[in-house]
Amino acid sequence: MQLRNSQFSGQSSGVYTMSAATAILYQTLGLIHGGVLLLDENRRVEFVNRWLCDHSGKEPSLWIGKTLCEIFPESELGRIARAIRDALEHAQSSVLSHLLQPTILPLYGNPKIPTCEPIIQSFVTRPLKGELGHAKCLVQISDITSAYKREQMQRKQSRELADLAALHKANDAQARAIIENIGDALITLDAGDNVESMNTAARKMFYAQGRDIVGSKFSDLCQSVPESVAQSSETSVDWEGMGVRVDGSEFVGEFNRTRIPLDESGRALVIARDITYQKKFEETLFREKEFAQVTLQSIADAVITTDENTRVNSANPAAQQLLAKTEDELLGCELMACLPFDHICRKEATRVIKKVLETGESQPLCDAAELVIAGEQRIPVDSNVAALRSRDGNIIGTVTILRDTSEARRMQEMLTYQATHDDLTKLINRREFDRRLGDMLIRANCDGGISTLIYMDLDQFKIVNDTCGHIAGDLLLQQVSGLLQTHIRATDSLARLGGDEFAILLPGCNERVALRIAETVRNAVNDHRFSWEGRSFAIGASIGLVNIDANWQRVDQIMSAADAACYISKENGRNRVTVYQQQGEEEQHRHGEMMWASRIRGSLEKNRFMLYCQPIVPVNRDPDARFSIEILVRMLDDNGDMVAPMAFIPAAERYDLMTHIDRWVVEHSAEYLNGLGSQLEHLDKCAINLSAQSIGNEEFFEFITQVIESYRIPWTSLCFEVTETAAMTNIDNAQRFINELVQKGCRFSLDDFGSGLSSFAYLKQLRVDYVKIDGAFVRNMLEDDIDAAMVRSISDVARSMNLKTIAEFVENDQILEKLAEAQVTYAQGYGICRPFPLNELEHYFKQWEAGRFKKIA
Amino acid sequence: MQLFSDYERDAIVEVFNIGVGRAAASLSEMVKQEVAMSLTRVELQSCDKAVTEFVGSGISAVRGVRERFDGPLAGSALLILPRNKSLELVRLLIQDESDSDFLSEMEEEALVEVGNILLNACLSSVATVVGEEIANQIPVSVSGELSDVVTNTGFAESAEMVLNLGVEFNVKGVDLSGCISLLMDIESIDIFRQKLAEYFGFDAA
Repeated sequence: MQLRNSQFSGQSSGVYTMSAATAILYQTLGLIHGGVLLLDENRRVEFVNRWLCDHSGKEPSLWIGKTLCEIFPESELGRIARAIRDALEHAQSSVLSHLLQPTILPLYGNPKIPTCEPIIQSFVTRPLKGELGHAKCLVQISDITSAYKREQMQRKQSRELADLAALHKANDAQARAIIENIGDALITLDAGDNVESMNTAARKMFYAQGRDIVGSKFSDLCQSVPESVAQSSETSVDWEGMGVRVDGSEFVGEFNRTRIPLDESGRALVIARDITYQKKFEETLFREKEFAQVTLQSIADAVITTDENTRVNSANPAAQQLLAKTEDELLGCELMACLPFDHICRKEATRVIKKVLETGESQPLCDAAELVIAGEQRIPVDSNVAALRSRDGNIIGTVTILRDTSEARRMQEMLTYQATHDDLTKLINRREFDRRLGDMLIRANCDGGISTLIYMDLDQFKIVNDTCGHIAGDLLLQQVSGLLQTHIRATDSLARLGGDEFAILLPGCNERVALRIAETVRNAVNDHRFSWEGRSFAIGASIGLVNIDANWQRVDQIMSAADAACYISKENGRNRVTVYQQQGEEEQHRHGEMMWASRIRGSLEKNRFMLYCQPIVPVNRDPDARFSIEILVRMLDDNGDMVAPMAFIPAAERYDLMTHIDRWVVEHSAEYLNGLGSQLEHLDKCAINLSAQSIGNEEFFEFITQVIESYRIPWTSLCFEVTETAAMTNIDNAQRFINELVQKGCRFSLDDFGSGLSSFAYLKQLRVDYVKIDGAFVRNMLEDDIDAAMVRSISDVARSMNLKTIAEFVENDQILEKLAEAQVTYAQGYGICRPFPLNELEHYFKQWEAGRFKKIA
Repeated sequence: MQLFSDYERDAIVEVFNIGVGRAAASLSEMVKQEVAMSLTRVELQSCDKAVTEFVGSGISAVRGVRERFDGPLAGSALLILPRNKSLELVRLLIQDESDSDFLSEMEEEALVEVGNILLNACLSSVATVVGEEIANQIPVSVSGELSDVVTNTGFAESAEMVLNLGVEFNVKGVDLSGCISLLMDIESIDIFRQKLAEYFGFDAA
């Protein structure tokens, strides 16, 4: 039989001779759904079936006698080639799967449609033995596209199912979890009221492990099932009763029994809850409430609560006491009707309470509230009102707390008084005074009102304090305070600013009136005599007066002006009143100590001091006698002009700068004297002034010793002048200071002798060699017999004490003659020689040799 | 039946390693990722013992690929993996992250191909030793209890011995152990041992 290859394909010859059975087999192969290929040992196609031709789009003629590589040149066929080789060479079968490597042969459902999807294939090769033992390879290709798609779909469905199942599982688990974890015990009962099942909470509640109470009577678990429950036909019944655990112990329980709906067998569900803790909690709550009540009863603060309509619903004993009302009187009253505030405070408090009820913010009822009890007693209170809230946060009333602050207020007033008053005199202190002055300045700047400040410094206070002790000083200050108070108006402010300084603020008082008051005050002080241990002291007041008007900007400017005016009063001889002149402010300031202090400091820093000296000569000139000098200090101001010591020394004393000046003088004098070398022998003594601050100062003593010795100045050529007041300020220290220096060989002279009050008494106590008679006596001794007598008596006393005397201010030869008569030892003054710069001293040695100083400079 | 001598054991490992290495190379090329395979042990056992040993290691549910072979030696070759490991191996190779507990048809076919490659390589090695063709039939997927898989060979009455080769796969850093079992009758085993001794030039045991 010959078969044409129109139906199927045969060997290269195109014609195959085969048996009928083989022909039927080939026909069958052509019909099957799937590809069949037969390859010869050279891997060439020997047979291809219809299916493969249809789905590859290649006619059988394109297949037969060709290798697969030739048929599908564009395809990667390595895997198929390997399988075919294994079959032909090793007789091995192979299976090529889709998943491991998708494309096998390029076959399509309908190759004429380019977009048609490729067929998913399962590819099997098998070895075959042909005639003569030739190896052949049978290739079977199955279309598994639909299987693949079905699988994909199933996969998707199964995934969805899995998700669903997971969800159900979760839901079911959730429901179980809820039942198992619910805090309430769930028990199902059969129609005979026997326990059928129970959840974890139930087992826990009844201490039932495993199933050991399933089947037991419910009445064994709950003792006090009310009669009505068992008989009730209602679907749901609640009751509270005692639960009985397996071990016999009991608990307080809340039970609910519900017939299971639609359950014909008559089963019931019991929900039980152990309320033992709840009961305990209620008890605790009750105790806490009790505790709060007791606390409220016993605290000192008044506590009043109201409902939301501000009607009082509780008031503790402190509240009853504070308001002087009984509880019955208070309960039910409108809150504001219970609080006896004044009109303004009541208005404010009413507003605040309304606000608290609206916003719930707690706040003070009223600032500086005062309760007026029984129309007379005023009680200051701190008040606070807060909202009371229910558990759900709604405002259900107010709580008002009142605290009696009378004591606190008294304390505060006392502290305020202490902070603003001077302990000693009970007058207002500096701080309070500054504050009042500030107020006044503001007023002056606002309405142009005029007020006046009187600033006062006591004269001679220092002497009383130093000689009689501070107790006497304090007494004097108290006396003066009392004295001043009698001369001022109620509206005036009298203050002690510190030390012996007082000030009076006269509001609405012009300069004329103020000046009269100031004079009155000055006279009063001047007339006052202070007695202490049999001694009587006269005191005085140096007063500065400043008009407070809109020309001032700051309090410190006014105080500084007052200080300056007061200073001028002192300069002008004390015990007088000076009005500060704003017009001449510049000029006055030049005299003001404040200015001086800074100028002195500046000069010390810049070395702007100069040394001058004035010769002191023997009154009865001995041909061999040498002269002495007194070293004087001059300050140069910023313009290089000389400033006289009288101008700056008081300021230096006041601001503790004298020691600095003394040091400067000692050091520069020593330096100059050292430079003189042997010429120093021309001088008898070189006198240097020391201030009160330096005498008795340990450090200064060391300084002076060190300087003099380092410049190798013979101690015998030195004389230190100290004033009577300086020596008396601290007599013990002064004595020690003088004694120690005298031992080194130097001399001391007591300056300005006669100006003080008790000079002679002290003369005995100080180891001085010279007494310098106050120039005020010397200058006037030609005209004034008393002064002349003074000079003579000082000379007499000094002589009797074996002291030498020096007369200052010797202005002419007549005075010199008088001094000779009075047997005064030395003379100094313009009549002898004017002061000259120390560095010109050498010229004066020559003049002295020549017999007389030229009257120059 | 005497077990393998050390010589034989070494020789068998050498022979099969060549085949297994070749299989690993073609598999790597196919799945475009590194697949390593190596033999870990060689045992010659009776079928019964092979089953108990597997069961003894705690594995009973297995999946595998079986090929019947014929020629001078006849029997069937099996790749056996613990069931869960077979899933893992296929999914590592086809790079699928499905977590289904079952192999789909397509996946099963993929496993068959893997087994086919490996078993063909082993049978080629045997053929090399024997010096004759060992024809094999197309592989089929098998699964079930280990004992069933091993004994239900289709001609169980003649398969008395099993040559077990422990095989270790490493894909993406994951190690998977399986077993290649060649089940043969005693005659086939004898021929194999004889040919092996000839091939390597030592005396057969």
